[in-house]
Amino acid sequence: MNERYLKDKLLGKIRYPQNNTSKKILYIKLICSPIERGSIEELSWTEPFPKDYFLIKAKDIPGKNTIDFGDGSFPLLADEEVYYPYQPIALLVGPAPQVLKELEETVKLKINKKEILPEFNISEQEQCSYQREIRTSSSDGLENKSEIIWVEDYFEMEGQQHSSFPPAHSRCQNEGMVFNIHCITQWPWIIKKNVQQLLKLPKKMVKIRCYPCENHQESKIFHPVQTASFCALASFISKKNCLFQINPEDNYFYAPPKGKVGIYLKAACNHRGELLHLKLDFSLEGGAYPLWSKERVDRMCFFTSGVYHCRNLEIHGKMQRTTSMPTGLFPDGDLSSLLTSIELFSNIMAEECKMTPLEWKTVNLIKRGNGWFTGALLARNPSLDELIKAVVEPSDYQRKYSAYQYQNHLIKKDSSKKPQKSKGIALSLGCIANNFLTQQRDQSPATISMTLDQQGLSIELPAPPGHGQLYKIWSSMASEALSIDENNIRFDIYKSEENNPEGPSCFSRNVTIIHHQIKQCINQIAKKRFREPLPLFETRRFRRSRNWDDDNFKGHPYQHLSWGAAVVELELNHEDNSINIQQIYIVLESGKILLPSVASSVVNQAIGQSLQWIFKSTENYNPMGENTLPFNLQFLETSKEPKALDGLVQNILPAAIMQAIAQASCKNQHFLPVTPGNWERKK
Amino acid sequence: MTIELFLNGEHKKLTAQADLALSQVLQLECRGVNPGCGKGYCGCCTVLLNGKLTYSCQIPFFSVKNQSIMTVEGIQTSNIFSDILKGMKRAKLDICDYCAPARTLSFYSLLKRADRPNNQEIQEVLSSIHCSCTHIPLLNQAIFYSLEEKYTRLHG
Ligand code: FES
Ligand code: FES
Repeated sequence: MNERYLKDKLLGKIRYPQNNTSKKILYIKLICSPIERGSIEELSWTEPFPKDYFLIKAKDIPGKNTIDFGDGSFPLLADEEVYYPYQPIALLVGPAPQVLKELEETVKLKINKKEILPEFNISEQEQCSYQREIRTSSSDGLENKSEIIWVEDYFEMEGQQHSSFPPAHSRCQNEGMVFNIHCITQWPWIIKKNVQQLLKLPKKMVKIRCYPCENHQESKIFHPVQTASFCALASFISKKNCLFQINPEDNYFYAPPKGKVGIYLKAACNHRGELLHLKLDFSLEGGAYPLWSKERVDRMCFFTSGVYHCRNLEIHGKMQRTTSMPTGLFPDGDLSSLLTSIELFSNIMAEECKMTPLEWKTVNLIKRGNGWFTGALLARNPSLDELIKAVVEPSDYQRKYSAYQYQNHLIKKDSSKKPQKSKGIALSLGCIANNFLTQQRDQSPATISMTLDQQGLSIELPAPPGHGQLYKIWSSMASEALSIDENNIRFDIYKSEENNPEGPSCFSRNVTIIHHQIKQCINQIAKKRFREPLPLFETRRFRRSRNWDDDNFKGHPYQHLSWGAAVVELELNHEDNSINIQQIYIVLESGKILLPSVASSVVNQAIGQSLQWIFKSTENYNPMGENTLPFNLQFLETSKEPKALDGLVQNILPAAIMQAIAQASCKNQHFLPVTPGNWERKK
Repeated sequence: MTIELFLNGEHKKLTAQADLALSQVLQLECRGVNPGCGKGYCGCCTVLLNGKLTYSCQIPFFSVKNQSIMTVEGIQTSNIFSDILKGMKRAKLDICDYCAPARTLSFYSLLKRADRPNNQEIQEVLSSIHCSCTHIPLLNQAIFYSLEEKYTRLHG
C-alpha cells in the first residue's frame, strides 16, 4: 500500500460527515416505537420546548413521507401505525444532546397494541410480498423408479448482521435553502431522489457529498438514505445545519440485519450420483417493509443448484412480511444461506449415494458449455477443478477425510470408546456474481464520462469507488495511455449524480463495471486524440444485459461469475464443547486482482464476518482469541477483468465449517448459527 | 465554559458547553478523533488522557481541566509512529480508515510502555476498539512487526 495514503489514514485525514461540524449544529434524537405493532393514539408534550428545540412528526413533512427504493418502500416516520419495534416516529432536534434526552422524557407517546404478523415460517403463504415459481421439468417420471435415490432436508439460517463501523452518520448543511447532505454512501442518486420527494424540492436544491466507504462491507443501501433524510428534514424545518449520529442505545442499528431464510431441498440422484432433479422451496424474511423482494428472490432462484449442474428444477421462492425491521441488502443478496444449504445438502446426497463428498461434487460440477436452466450457456470455464485441486492437495483433504470417517465408524460400532476430542474436515465450493438482476430504469445504469481539455483529464464517476487506491490505479492507467501527467487527472463524483439516475447497478462497489468503462473511455479518447480538436468527450453507460429477460427468467444476467473453494479442518472438544479451527484453505477465482492488499483484507474481514455469523454467541468460539487463525489464501487469476469478491467468502466458508463440525460430531448440521446444542454429545 | 488544557503538548484554551463529551469538543479541534457510538462501545474516539488510553466520549469536557490529552496528531513526528507505519505496511494491513487513528494510538500506547508485551497486553490493546471490520489477526501481525521495527531501530 502506498505509504502516504496509509499515513493519511492513520492520521485521520480521511473525513467523515460528523467531522467538520460547526459549533452551531443541531443534533437529532429519534423517538421510536417501544412496541412491535400498534396504532399511534397520541404524540404530545406537556411543557413548551425551549428555543431552538423542535419535535418533528410525520405530519410536518412537506412532501412525501416515503423512502422509496424502486423495489419496496417504507415511511420515513410512522404516521398512524407502527409495524416493527423501534420504528422511528418523530425527531427531536436541538443544539444539546443532553437536553434532547431530557426532553424525550416529557414527550407523551401512546400506542395501542395490535396483533402482530405471524413469525417467520417457510409454510406461511399469506404474508408474501413477492413470490416466484419456476418449473423446468417434473419429477413424475422419476418417482417410481427403484434405482433413483431421493434425498430431502430442511435448513434454516438466521441472518448475518454487520457489526462494522463507521455507522452511517449524516449531516446536512443548510446553505440558503440549498441542502448539502454529507453522508457515507455509494448510491447518492437514491438519497437525492428521496430527499427531493420528502421536502418537495427541485433537483438543484439538494446536493449530495459522498464520503469514502472503503473497507467496510458495503451494501448499506437503506441506512444512509434514512439518516440523510432525517438530517435533511430537520434542517429544512429548523433552517439550521443538522447532524444525525447513529447510537446503539436508541436501538437504531448500525447496519440493517439480514432476515432469516428457510430452505427445503429435495433431490433425485442416480446410482452414479448424478443430480437428476432438484426441488427448492425457500422463504426469505423481509421484515415489516420488504425491500428488493424481487431482486433477492430472483437471485436465489437463479442459483438454485449452486455450483452443480442440474436443469430439471422445481423452484418456489418467496419473501415473507414479518413484524420486524426491514432487512438489509448484502452484497450477495441472500445467496450465502442458499449456497451453504446446498453444500450441506450435497454432503447428505453423497452419503446416500455411498460416495465421498469430493466424488459427488466432481460428478456434478458445472462446466463450460453447461446450460443454466434459464437457457443461457456458461461461456467460460469456471475452473472449479483447478480450485478443488488447489485446496484439496495442500490440505491433504482426501486422506484426512477417510481417516476421520473411519474414526466415526469405530465410534458407531462401540460407543463406549468415544474419544474426548474428535476431528472433521470438509470441502465446499461457491460462487458469486455482482449486478442487479432487475431491469428497472433507476436501478441498473452506471455512467462514466471523461473530458480531455487543456487543463487535463477529468473523470466523472457515479459514486465513490470501493477503495481510495483505485483512483491511483485509474489515474496511472490514464496517464500511461494518454501520456499526461497524473497531477492533471481529476476525479469528480458529484456532478454526474446531478442529472442521471445512477442506481445500485451492481455490488462489489462498482469496480467490475466502472473499471471496464474507464478503460474503454480512455481507449476511445486515445484514438481521437490528435485527430480531433480539444475538448474531447467520452461517456459509457452501463445497462443490464440485453440477454436477460427478468420477467420470463430467460437468458444470462451476469457478465462475470466469481468462484471459490475452501477446506476447513477443525477439532471438537467434547469436554467443554469448544471448537478449535486447525486449518483453513481458501482459493478464489475472482478475476484480475487490482489491489492485492485490499483484496486480502476484504477476505480477512469476510472470514471474521463468517465466523461471527456461524458462531453468533461467541462463548464457544472466540474470534478475538484466535488471532493466529491458520489460514491460507490464494487467488487464481484466470481472467483479465476484475470480478466480484465481496461476499464470496461468506458463500463458501460457513458451509465448510459446518460440514467439518458435522463430521467431527457425527451430526448433520441444518441450522445457523451453530450452537453447542447442534454438536453436543448426549450425556 | 472555557477550560485550559494541554492538547498534543500545547497549552490551549477551549470553549464549549460544559456538559458536552470530550469527544464532541475534540472532533471539532483535531482530525484524529472520530466518535462512533458515543457510548463507550466502539472505541473509535480513543485518546490518550494523561498517557492512558481513554474513550473520550465517556469523559465530560469540564473534567479535563489542566489535563494532558494526546490525539494521533500529537504522535505523528515520533519514532514510534514511524515504527507503527512500517509495521502496518509490512503486515499488508489495509486498515479501516474510520478507526485507524484510534488503532494507531492504541498501538502507540503499547509500544511506548513495553518492548516485549505479553499476549494479554496485546489482546487488551486489540480489544479496546470493538469493531471487526479490520481483521484482528492482521492487526496482531502489524503489532509484531511494529515491535520488530522498534527493536531494530533501538538495537540495530
Ligand atoms: S470501524 Fe474500523 S475496524 Fe471497523
Ligand atoms: S464513540 Fe466513544 S467509544 Fe464509541
